[in-house]
Amino acid sequence: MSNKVKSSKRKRSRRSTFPTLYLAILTVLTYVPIAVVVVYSFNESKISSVWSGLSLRWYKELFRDPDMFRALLMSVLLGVSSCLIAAVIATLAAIGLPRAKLPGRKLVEYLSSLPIIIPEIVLGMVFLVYFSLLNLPFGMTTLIIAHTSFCIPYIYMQVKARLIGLDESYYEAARDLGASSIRAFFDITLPLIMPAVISGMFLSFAMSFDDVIISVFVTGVSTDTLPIKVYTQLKTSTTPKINALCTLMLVVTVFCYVMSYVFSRIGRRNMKTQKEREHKEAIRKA
Amino acid sequence: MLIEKTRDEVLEDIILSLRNFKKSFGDTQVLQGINLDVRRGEFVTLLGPSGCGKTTVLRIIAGLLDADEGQVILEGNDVTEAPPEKRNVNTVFQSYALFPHMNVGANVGYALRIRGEKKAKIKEEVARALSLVQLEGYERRMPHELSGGERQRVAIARAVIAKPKVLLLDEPLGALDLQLRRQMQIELKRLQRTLGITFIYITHDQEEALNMSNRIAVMRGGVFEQVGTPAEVYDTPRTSYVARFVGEANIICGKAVSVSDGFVTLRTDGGVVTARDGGIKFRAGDDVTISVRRENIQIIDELQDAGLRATVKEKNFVGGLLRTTLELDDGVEIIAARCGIDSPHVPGDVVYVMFTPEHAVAVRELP
Amino acid sequence: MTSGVLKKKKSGCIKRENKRRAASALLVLPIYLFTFAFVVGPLVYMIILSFMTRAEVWGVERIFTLDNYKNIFSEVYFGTFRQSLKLAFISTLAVILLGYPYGYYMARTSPSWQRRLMTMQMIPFWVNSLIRLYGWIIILRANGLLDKLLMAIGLTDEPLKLLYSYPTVIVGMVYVLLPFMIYSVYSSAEKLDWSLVEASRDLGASPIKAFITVTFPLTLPGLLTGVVLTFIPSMGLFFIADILGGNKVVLVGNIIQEQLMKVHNWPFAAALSVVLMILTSVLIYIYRRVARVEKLMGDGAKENKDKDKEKEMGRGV
Repeated sequence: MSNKVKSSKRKRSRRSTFPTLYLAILTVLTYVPIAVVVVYSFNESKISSVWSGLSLRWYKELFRDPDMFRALLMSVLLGVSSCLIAAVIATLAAIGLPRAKLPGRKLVEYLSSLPIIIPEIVLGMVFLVYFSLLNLPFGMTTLIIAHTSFCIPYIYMQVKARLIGLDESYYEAARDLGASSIRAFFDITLPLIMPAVISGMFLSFAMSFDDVIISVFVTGVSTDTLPIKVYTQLKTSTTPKINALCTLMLVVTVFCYVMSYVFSRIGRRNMKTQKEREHKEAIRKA
Repeated sequence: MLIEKTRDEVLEDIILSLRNFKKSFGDTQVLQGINLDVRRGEFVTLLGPSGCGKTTVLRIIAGLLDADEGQVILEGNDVTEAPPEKRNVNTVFQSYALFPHMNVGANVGYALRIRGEKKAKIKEEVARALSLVQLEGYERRMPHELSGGERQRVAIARAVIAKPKVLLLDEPLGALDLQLRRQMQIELKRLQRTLGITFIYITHDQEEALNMSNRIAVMRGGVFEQVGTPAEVYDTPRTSYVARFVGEANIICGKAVSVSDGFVTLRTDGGVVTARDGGIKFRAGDDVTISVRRENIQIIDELQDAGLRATVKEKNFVGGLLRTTLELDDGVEIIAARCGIDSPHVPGDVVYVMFTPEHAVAVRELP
Repeated sequence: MTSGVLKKKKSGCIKRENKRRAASALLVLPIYLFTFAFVVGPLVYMIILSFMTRAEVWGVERIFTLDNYKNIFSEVYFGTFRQSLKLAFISTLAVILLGYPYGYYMARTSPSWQRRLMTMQMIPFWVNSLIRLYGWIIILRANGLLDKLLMAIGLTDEPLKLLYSYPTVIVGMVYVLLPFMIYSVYSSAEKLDWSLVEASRDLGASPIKAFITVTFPLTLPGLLTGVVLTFIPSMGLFFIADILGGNKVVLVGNIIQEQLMKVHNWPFAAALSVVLMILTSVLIYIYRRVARVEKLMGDGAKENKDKDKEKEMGRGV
């Protein structure tokens, strides 16, 4: 009897060890390549497989390289402009689409989300041929249009979800208290959806800051972004300068992601506490 | 546009009148002809079950919804087409709708800020409004830090600060527990007297309606079945629905046998009873439906001059009342309620149910 | 006279309603314009282009042809297409085998650990895939970290020359695409009602049987989402083949890129893209069918919708 209990116990513990181990190993493996890049960015040696001491040499060189600096500028300019343009288009659309009873609004919603559904390579290719058709010179303009196209869905989805969760009576209460529809929008609706807009903007900035495939197709002669630089360098020769660059990009991306998360939390917080409270009260009443 | 006041309106000081509202959503007609005149300073309650259209009426008055037909006249002005911000009417929303990103002070002062009042004045008025609802010093708190009762008070303070002509309250006590609700009923009534503002109040709770209102409009299926003082609605319901919904009255049906000066006598399977005719002209042979309140039912062992035979089904004590459930010969269930001591009857006993004619009234049976 | 007043009233309301709609139309104008100019336009042009003829030297001629599609099935390209499909298949299979257990086990941990693991998977997901692949280059290249490690413990005597080989490309693919599978499986396993599994165990099913009959069918939509998100992209991620495979592995994505940038045969690149789009649509269609079946099996979604409708009616929006 006691034997049986023991064996079943052992069995259970074995059963729970395997998943834990599996999760742990795979999670660690996910981080190994990233860690390698970061660690070797501080390597003194020129050859990345030899460790010859801690140094900031490659960061210094990176900042001294005008080409890299230019690429960084391009990436930031591109990311900021496309996510700003996308924020305006997507926010207006999220507010307007449910109200404007225009034909095909469901279709437009679906079509506008295509850039994140179809394979990146296809998106890059269609932009390349289409911009040539329109005779648009390849450069910042084409990059911004292409990046805006995939930034819109990210922001749109965030804002739409927020608007659905938003009680319409806030807006109505403002109208009721004497605010015009425009005033009520700026006083009430906009501040309440702002966290979602900002969260979506950070998210889409991170996406834009990271994109290689689409950028490769629509970039101009002098508008290479950081990821394009990394890509061309990886194909040819690699110096630890790339490690330093990668590490910096990593920091920017993680920062953007964390900010996006923080803002989406801020948006939800007020609502949540209010909802929780109501829930608790309902329970107490029952 | 100034509508010429009728003589009645001048005499009775009508502040708000609703004229023949109609409203449909898609194929469903939610309101079918709503008429109501509200006097200045009155406390009017729209009472009805959920889905009867009472919130729709409120939203049309507030301007948050357009009626398909009909007019809203506020102090002699036709405001049917005015947007909500142009109507001197404020609402306490069912969900309170306190702006979650503003503190209590900013919420309460919002209407004044819209009007462009000076900061010092707003501050002063906010403090006064908050003291009115007994929340002195709450200006800096955020809505999510408040309890349900406190949020309710803030919502009221926010709605009255601009001194609206009419205050609309959409089930404001619905989310509170019973004890708090009773307390708030008294406070709301006090507030209404202090401010002298006309209240239009929505509830599905008949007790609340009877306690607080000057007049009650009982609503069903998009129409007012009866508009009257609590006493009128309670003692002389006009329809069987009103009788049942307000105070859960017993309904008995029969055929008229004789009519005399305000009273009608009817025969049912179990016997013959007399009731007030409730203003309905009956002729012998007509179908008659009467309503009798539970507390007016007497149970006796021997048949006297009038009464209905019934069988005792069940007895129980609810909230200090002895409640006896009986079944008449024609299968209709009757409930009698009275204070205090137990009766000698046990389930299965055959007894007689009676009431004085003044306590029963004939009602209309609407589909 | 009364009816005249009423008529006027009605038209006033309609005017107000129309004004509101016009204002909303203004709000959505940008997205309509952008979507038609820069999403629909390019895609339509891609389809048209795929039926056009390549000009002798540069550009395209407006002559209708089916040659581009025939070309895909020509010996040279069809071989690559098959190879790319095969690689996509192997990668997706590997992603399923590695990612499904991860997502599944993740959903079974405590909520706080679920959050932690989610964040831990999220972070690399947002890190540029180039950076992550570069890490693999450092590890796998000749005399790289792995070689050094293996030689140090004496397992091998000389560098393995792992980089620029078929398996390395698969490693790269799996590494880049794994997070998609993990999320998809996790999000459907997380919603799973585990009492169903317990119920089936209670009814006498063995753990494996319970998994096959209950858990697996219920997490299938998640698995399929993962497949949609990994299978087609793994044919397009040309840079992985580029930097990890040298010139040894050629994907459809590589051909598209080559045809566009080097050979300048745009109609052919367009035809290849159309085929990729069709494959994507087919996968999404299958996914939708399966997802709908799951919905029919009842998760209260319909009920909620009805409730919302009721609310809407009450508020009269």
